[in-house]
Amino acid sequence: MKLGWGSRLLSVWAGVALLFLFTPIFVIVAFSFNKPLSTYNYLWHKFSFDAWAHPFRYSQLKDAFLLSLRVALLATFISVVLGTAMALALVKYRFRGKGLINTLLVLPLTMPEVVLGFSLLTVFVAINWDRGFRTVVVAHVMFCMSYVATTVKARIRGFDWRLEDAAADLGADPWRTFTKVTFPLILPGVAAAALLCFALSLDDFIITYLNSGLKPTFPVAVWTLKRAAVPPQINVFATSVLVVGVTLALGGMALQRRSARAA
Amino acid sequence: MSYTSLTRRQLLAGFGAAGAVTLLGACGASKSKSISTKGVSANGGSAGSGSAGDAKKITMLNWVLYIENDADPSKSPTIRSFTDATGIRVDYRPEIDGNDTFYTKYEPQLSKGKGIGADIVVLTAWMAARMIAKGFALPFTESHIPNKANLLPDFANPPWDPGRKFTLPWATVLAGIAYYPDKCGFELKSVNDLFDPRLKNRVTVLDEMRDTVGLLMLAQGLDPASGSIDDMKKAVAQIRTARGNGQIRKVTGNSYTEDLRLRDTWASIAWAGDAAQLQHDNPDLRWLFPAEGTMRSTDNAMILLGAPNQVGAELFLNHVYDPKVAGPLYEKIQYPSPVKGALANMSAAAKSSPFLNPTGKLVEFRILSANEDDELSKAFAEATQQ
Amino acid sequence: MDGRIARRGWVPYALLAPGLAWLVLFFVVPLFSLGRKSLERGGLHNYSKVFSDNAAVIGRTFLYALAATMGALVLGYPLAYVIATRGGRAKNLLLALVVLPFFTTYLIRTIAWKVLLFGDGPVVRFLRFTHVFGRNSELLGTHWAVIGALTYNFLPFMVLPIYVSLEKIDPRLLEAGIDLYATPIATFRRVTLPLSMPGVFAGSLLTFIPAAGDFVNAELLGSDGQRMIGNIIAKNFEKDVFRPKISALSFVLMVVILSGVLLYARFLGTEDVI
Repeated sequence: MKLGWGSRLLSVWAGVALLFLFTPIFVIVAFSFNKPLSTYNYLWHKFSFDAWAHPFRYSQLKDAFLLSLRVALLATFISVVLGTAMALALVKYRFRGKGLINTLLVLPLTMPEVVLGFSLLTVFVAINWDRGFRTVVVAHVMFCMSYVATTVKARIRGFDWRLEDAAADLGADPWRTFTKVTFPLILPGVAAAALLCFALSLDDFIITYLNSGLKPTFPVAVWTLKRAAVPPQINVFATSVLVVGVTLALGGMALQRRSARAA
Repeated sequence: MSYTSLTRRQLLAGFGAAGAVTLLGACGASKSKSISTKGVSANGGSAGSGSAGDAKKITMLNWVLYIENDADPSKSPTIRSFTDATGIRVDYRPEIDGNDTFYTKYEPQLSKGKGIGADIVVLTAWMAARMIAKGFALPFTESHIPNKANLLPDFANPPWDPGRKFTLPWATVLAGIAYYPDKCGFELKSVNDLFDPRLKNRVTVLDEMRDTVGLLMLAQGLDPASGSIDDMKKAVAQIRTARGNGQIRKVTGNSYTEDLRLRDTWASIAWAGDAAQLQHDNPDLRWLFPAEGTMRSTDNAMILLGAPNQVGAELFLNHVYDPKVAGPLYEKIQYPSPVKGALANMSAAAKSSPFLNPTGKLVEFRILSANEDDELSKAFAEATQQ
Repeated sequence: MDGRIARRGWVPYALLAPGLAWLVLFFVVPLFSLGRKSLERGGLHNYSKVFSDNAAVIGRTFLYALAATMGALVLGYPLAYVIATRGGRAKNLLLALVVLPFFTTYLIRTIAWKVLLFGDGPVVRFLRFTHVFGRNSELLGTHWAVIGALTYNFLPFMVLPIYVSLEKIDPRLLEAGIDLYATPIATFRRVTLPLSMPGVFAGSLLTFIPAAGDFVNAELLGSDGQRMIGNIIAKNFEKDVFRPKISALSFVLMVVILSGVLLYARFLGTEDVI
């Protein structure tokens, strides 16, 4: 089929959309090499590797980044355990109230973050929980778990669970059955869910902002620091994550291609 | 389930990779963590009584632009010289963004008698007064702060803390007007000039009620130092109108400096020190002590109950009240210093700086009763939030 | 064998219990708590007050979210279509490109827009230079900036579901379409578009929900004239006096979004909404 006029226009339009997606990314990367005149990295002044040479100059950013990682790790662990268990129950078993639970799992995903965050805050205030590490982790698990459960659920639907029965018939105890049969089966889905959860937790701003205490996570620290400075180090952090992300994505794609070819 | 499961999968493909990225980042970053603990042994004894926390560290919560090199306080000469002398590190966080915000966030902890994890906090006079009245403030151990004698007599006896047993002023706050003459197209003289039609949608005002309401009262010929709540509400009404017709672009807290810096805001009710620091980057910015008068208040350093290292906190305040330390500090942050002899330790240029030597009438907002405060806060919020 | 069946009776509940407890405690209970809070100091009157005080903000929030959803659709559908139908071997790469910008923190991307759009920044300068803009026109503090940034920030959530639904269309159907309707446009209208509707619906929800609840874009790129519901909540949540009204406002936001979701759910069946 030959591409007509309108068809070509369509491709151009898609290109425009892609360009739009990347516009601020160019800015972020470029301005990581800026040496701004003021504390605000808003105006281009001079090319420099300064921020790259001293990425941790702003200790609060580094601390916040480390805290974000701790929060994300813990929240991911809890949500993956709880969410996977829920997914297994929902896919493998028939029981009453299933529809209700499915709906309940989806509901947090249909709720604007600001409502989730604020409603949670009203509870923390009512039960006298000081805002801090604990409240942030609780909040992150709450929204991550739904993602984990729905993701794992989608991945493991249609699996042949009779393998478990076979293992049991061969005399494996339930724990052995789980570790030797069930777990390897669901692992890819669980791993994907864990990565998603980790990324969501790391990037969350709105819910965290409403529920964090004295020590900020990375996005909240950027928000706070923004009142005094927007240093190029912020761009350095963002760019680094981007670069490592691209590398991983390309690597993943190459692996996929190789395994596809092998198969 | 059809398309949606695939949707998630696609998202995963991307976000999943992003997650792994940061995981790797974690391994690299955590290695470089334990760098900054220096000066461990010097003068350890005097700071040793902090029961709950690390005697070698204090945490201070302050407003932005209240210390040198605010964006990275660990480089502040004031903090460095303190750490060098005492071995006590200062975890300085410029993150207080509003007195009310601070109060509601931490009041639950404080009323349970628990600390908030900070040793020094800085609050505006009326909020400091409330903290003392509620019993949340710890009295100073005077022997740790001999430099308290350097407090200017002008500030020594506020009615809400006679003898300064609980608080020491950190800075004198002056609320006036900052503006760009080139953008505005004319020289501003008075608060009323903010309502000039040429400045439509280019004016921001502070959400610190006492400063904004006070200035507008002055503009209307009313006295913030003695006026009734009804007088104050007249100023509130003016804000409501000016927001309604688009004259006022934004009512903001500390973030007003951003749009002012970008010159999207042309004129703003501003704090003098901010304006001074903004002038470094934007020489075109001009500061005005309005013809009607300038609002003055103090932001006060205090130690709240449950402070992990009270002694360290007192030593730090003592350090700042040394005129040799205060001179350069206040010259840099450009707020008038409450410390006697600070001016003598500044450069000649600073001695003549308008920011450090305010001119014209200075007015302090009346201390409101709790009921009055509620009433006015509510009216102000309704006029500024919707 | 008997034991197995008995175990099946309680096993699913045991698996569900911890997660369910978490959801109930930290999602369901908070919503009730929000509801109760919203009736404090004034009861239902809070709601009428919230509506009368914030009518403009509420209206604006939904208009913005709607506009951003439309914007994302206009940009996202062609992009998804081109990737799905002409991507060829580069399909995965192109999809990765769509997701790539979102490896950087949301907040930092929005700050980058500020750098681009402010009054003396590159975009406005260009528009002034080309006389599209007058001397005092600006982008920051306008509807355009906020709607544009909302569109931007949630665009991938539109592209991906549409792509998936387009990708699944059996090519033989398209061939049949061409035989039947002759022109590509008619084929698109009669075959492709209807079959991709589930993706459009899902994408619209995934864009609309976060856009309606956002405050970062309006805070960073807007003035008071662009405030959304989220801004009012974020500005006042710390102050106890305001919490009842903020709660009522949250409830309003939630109920309107939920009714939208349920409406879609009727179209598509509950399982498929998210």
